[in-house]
Amino acid sequence: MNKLLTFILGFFLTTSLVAQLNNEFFQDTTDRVSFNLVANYSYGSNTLNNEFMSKFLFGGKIEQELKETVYDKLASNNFTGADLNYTLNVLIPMDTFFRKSNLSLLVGVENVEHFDASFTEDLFKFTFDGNKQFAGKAAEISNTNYNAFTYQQVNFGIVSKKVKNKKLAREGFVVSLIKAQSHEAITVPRGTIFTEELGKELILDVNYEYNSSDTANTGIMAFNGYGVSTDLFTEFFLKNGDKIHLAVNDLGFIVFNSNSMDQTADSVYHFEGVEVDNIFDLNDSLLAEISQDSIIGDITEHKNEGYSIALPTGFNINYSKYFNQKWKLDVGVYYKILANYFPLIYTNTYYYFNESFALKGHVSYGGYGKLNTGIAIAKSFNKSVNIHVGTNNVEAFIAKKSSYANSGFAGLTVYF
Amino acid sequence: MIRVVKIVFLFAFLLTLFSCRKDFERPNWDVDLLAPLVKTSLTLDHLLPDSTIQTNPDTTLKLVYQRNILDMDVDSLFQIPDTNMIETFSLALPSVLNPGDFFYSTSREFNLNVNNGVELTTVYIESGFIEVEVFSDIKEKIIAEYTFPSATKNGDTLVVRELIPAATGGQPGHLLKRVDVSGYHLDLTGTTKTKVNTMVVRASGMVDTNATSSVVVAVGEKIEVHNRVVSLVPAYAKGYFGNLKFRFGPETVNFNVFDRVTSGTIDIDQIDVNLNFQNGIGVDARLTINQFESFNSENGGSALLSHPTIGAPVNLNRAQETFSIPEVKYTNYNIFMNTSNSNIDNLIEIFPDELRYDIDLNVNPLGNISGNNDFVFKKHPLKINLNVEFPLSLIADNFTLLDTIDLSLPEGGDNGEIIDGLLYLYADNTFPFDANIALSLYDANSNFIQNLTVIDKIQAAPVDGSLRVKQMKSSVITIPLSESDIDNLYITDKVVMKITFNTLPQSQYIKIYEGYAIDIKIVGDFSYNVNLK
Repeated sequence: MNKLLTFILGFFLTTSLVAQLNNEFFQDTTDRVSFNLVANYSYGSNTLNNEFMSKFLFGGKIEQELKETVYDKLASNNFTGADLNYTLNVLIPMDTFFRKSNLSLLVGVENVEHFDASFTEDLFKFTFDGNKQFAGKAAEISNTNYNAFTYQQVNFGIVSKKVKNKKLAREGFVVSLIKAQSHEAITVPRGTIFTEELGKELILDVNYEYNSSDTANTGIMAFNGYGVSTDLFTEFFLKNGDKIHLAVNDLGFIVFNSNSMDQTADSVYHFEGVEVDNIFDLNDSLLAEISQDSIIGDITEHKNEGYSIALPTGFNINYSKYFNQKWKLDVGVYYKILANYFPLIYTNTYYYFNESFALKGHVSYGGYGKLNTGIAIAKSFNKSVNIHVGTNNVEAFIAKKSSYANSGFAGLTVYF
Repeated sequence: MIRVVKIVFLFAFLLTLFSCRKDFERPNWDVDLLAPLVKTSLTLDHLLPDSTIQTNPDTTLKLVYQRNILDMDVDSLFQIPDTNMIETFSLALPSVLNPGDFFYSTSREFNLNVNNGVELTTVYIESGFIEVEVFSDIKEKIIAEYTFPSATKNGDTLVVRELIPAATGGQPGHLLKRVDVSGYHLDLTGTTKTKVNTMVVRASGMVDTNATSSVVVAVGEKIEVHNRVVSLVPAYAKGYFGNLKFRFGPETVNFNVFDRVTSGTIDIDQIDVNLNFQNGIGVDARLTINQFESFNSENGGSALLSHPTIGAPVNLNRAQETFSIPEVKYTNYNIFMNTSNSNIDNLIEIFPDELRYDIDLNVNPLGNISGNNDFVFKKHPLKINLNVEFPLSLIADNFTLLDTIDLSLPEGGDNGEIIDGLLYLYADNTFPFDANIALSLYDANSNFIQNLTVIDKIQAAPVDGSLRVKQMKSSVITIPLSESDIDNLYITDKVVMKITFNTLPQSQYIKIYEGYAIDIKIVGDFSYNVNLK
């Protein structure tokens, strides 16, 4: 039953991020070894505003007034998601080894955490205001799902580059070997929770499946499965010198080991209280039978076996327009399958104060949020150390009640 | 140097990034929960534990309580103590004995020293041992043979034949042999078949036939034999058990029917108590009940039985041996008590938790009239049983049951805590009783914390002209739980529940019928603070 609670609450607990789009500020066309370190996070929802998300993520009392603001925005299809990534990649020009001046070898490590969920209005209200409001009625929880995982991976790739008019275009692939740390997923194709008018009975009518990696083996050292993923990307110049970027990210799968758990249920469960043969024998152990685990245990089939999942895979198409040395504009679309993700349409506008200092403005709509506006700055030090930091959701820091996503990113590139 | 600076910069950035990640405080929010907690049914079996509720042909119920008060078995009659008989054999003159020479042969009787003056002629052993211990001064191995003609099993006589080591260096040869005699039959009439408590042993000794040379036995050299019976427990015994007098009591036994009753009164319409004596022993017996009393240790109340048999001797005939299965035909004697011939209702209506008795028992009051044919089987004792039976036709006036429920709510639970709320107790009652409920909270040291407010009561089901319930009565009891009540519940370790019953109408005996029950459903209506700790 902890799984059910996790399932219900997990919809609203977000701690991870997605790759931030197009943070290529300075282009290095020379052949040298570079270390690229990036960290980014993002979370959002089409209905949960930032004030609510902030309370939920960072703690504090979620007051009724705040819940009401969310209720006003709840739709028939509500979704949320979050991503958190840390990446360290090293790009090594092949001419170091093979005298191939346009090829580089990429090696690196990455930590990936992801969460996404789709939920009904009733499920949200049930979770945050309890079932009393549904006395005499059924709370609808059909077509909800929840998916969360954490893994670490080792990256190996080949990147080729071409330079045109001092502009850089890359293409290549990265193959990643995955060490799965944890996974949890629930899908509820059909479900209602009925509360009898006086509370004398609860009826759970549910068709659901729950999967979890080995819960006895947790932490970053946990090795609960393995997998492979691939990144494919290419960039090419148009006749006018503008650039098109196409990419597929995280195309892959994870296989979880046989200590994993699978629970399924497709039944109607009536709960009228713990049945006590003799009220004089009522005691702690009998009351403990009210535990969520025992109730779930009554209605589900439980088995330990391995399973596999396909990773949420991202697709990106980006058009970069170079106006002059000072101005650049990106327009693109990003979409991620298997992740309750809404297509994200975005633009990035870059202004270069000089060759070593740039500012980026970002406007987008979609993803795990609605309208997003962002800003980032980048600085290059002697063309050997580049840093950038920014957010795609300035509004999250200004208007928490009317914004629906938050993000941040920072990067460091060091050239040797 | 520049490269080193770059590396330091890289790692500083890495460290900064990861140090930003921390475990944040978890959120909390309030929810309103409405959920069933407990479903139960309260029947007479729950109210009166350790009794048996039986249904009469007219579907009225009666309470039947049975318990054994006293067992007198073979251990009470007599015991066979551990007995040791020492025999010594020695030659009057120096002799030279060759291998295979017999040098002693004897037959002896020994008495088992049975206590209480009991004279046994036959015993079947359930468990026990015969030990033979030999000390030999002969400087050669000897073969010793001991035959117990009194002890047979499946027609075979018990024989112990052992090789005794030779004496060496001034140390006698020694042997200890223990034989399990479980299942043996002992004939205790001696060699003449006229004695009692007497076993016969034949002993013989000869020089080991495998000895390589003769042996010289000097004057004074001897063989000492210890014959013992150890831990003999008879499964059956026969003989004359004597004219014995026993006194049982004053003795106290528990009476658990009213364990949960603390106060109030019930007026029982009719009660039948049967004091049943079952004699499975083949002896005549004379019993005298000097005193029979019920006692309520909670309030100190007691009631002394008044009945014609108190102080008057009762003769119990001997059981008959059937020589088949079952081995014994019991004789029975019953003393019937009711409200007409005794004050037995007074003994019950104080809700006793103990019964006290004082009984004299005289075995074979007329002497050995069986001609040594008294018998006893270990598994067939003389028993005194108490059978209480009364139809549940009664008037209850604040008849109060009390019980303690262990209840420890986990403070600061994993997922949150109750703030305040209401407990609803929905009751569907088919008893013609009103029931008031009181709940008191106590800590782990049994210190009183507070009473919970209980609004309303379980109402009695209405009865028709024949005083029978025709339809159930539904009631709702509300137990408000304020924030301070909840705080106290979290430090509570025990909840004392007191239920007080009153029959309606009060002036008439109400019969309790099969199927009467209070169906209870407890529903919680709570404000709950969810806290994802």
